[in-house]
Amino acid sequence: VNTVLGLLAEAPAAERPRVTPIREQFQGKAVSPAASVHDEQIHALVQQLFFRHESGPVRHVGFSPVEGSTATATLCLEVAKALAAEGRYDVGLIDAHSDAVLLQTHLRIPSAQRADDQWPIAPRLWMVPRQSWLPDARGQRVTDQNLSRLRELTTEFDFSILWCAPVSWLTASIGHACDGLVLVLTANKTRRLVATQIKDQLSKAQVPLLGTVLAERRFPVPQGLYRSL
Amino acid sequence: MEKAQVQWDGLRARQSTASVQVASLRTFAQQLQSESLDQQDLMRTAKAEEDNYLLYLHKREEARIGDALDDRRILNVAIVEPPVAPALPEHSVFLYLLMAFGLALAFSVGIAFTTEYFDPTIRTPHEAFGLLEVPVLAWLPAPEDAAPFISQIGRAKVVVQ
Repeated sequence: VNTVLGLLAEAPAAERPRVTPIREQFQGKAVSPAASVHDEQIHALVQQLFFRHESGPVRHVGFSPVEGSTATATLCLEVAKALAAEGRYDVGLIDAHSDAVLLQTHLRIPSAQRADDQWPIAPRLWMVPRQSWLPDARGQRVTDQNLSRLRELTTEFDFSILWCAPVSWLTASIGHACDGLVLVLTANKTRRLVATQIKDQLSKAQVPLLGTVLAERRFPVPQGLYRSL
Repeated sequence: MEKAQVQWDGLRARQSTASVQVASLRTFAQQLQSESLDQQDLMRTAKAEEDNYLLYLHKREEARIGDALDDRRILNVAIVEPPVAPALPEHSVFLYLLMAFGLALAFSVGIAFTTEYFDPTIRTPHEAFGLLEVPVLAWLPAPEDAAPFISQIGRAKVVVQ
């Protein structure tokens, strides 16, 4: 997977606003084994979730963590980036979170001039702010109209990645507005009982659970030893 | 002659009287002898009873003292032989170190296995799949394990011109 900056270098300047990195430029460091594993996992996720799903085509997916402390914004960006890197699809990265902090703030991406405008952050990759479907940005009042608007927004893209809040009634509602949810488990943190209960609740709410991602996995063997293998 | 006859009669009378007295005394002596045996038996019995009495008295006093010490939580300890520090250890230091190392190793491994067994969290993709029966699409290493990668991706700042 290329980095954001790598993708930005390929963006056609004439069609869409040009995106320029201003800080923390990628210095072309050697990719570590851990980074390679990370890359492979994201690529495998994209392929398995969007292109080889058994129950039919999956195009609009919400990523929801079990633990509130698990940061899924970066994961959503990486998945969206990997999809956009295919070069054939328009991908929307949609802020469907109820957190006070916006997705673009999490990712340190400057907002567009209009709060409800979507804007490209990479070739064929669009950032969709929360205000574009939820005028009340704090997400405390979500109506059916908001969900309908969210559903319309997802249909504007070939694929859309929805950054969701930890599993709640709002997440279940958003799950109905897309093709399903991917549950992000946190290794060594998410309890088995909680995960099972969430799966049951989603099943009762008839929200398709497309799969899980095990984040923050730790290895008992030190990284230096892994690298020496 | 007559005088001698009178003296003879008198002596004969005294003899008979003395014989009676001797017989009486002999009977009394025999009675005394038999009674002295009974007396000795009685004296032995009395002595034995006295000894028993003194023994029981002594025992009772010891028991009373013991009860009093127990009531006051005082142990009745007598130092038979004062302790003396040995000049050389009974076992070698190496043996103690080896035992300590073995015990520490067994304890550590036991703690690790116990913690692992009772850990209620999900740790591996295999566990997640076995528990939820939905595909595990990916597993991502912890940020510090993949710091060189994640720091480049997630924190790149871009601006729209």
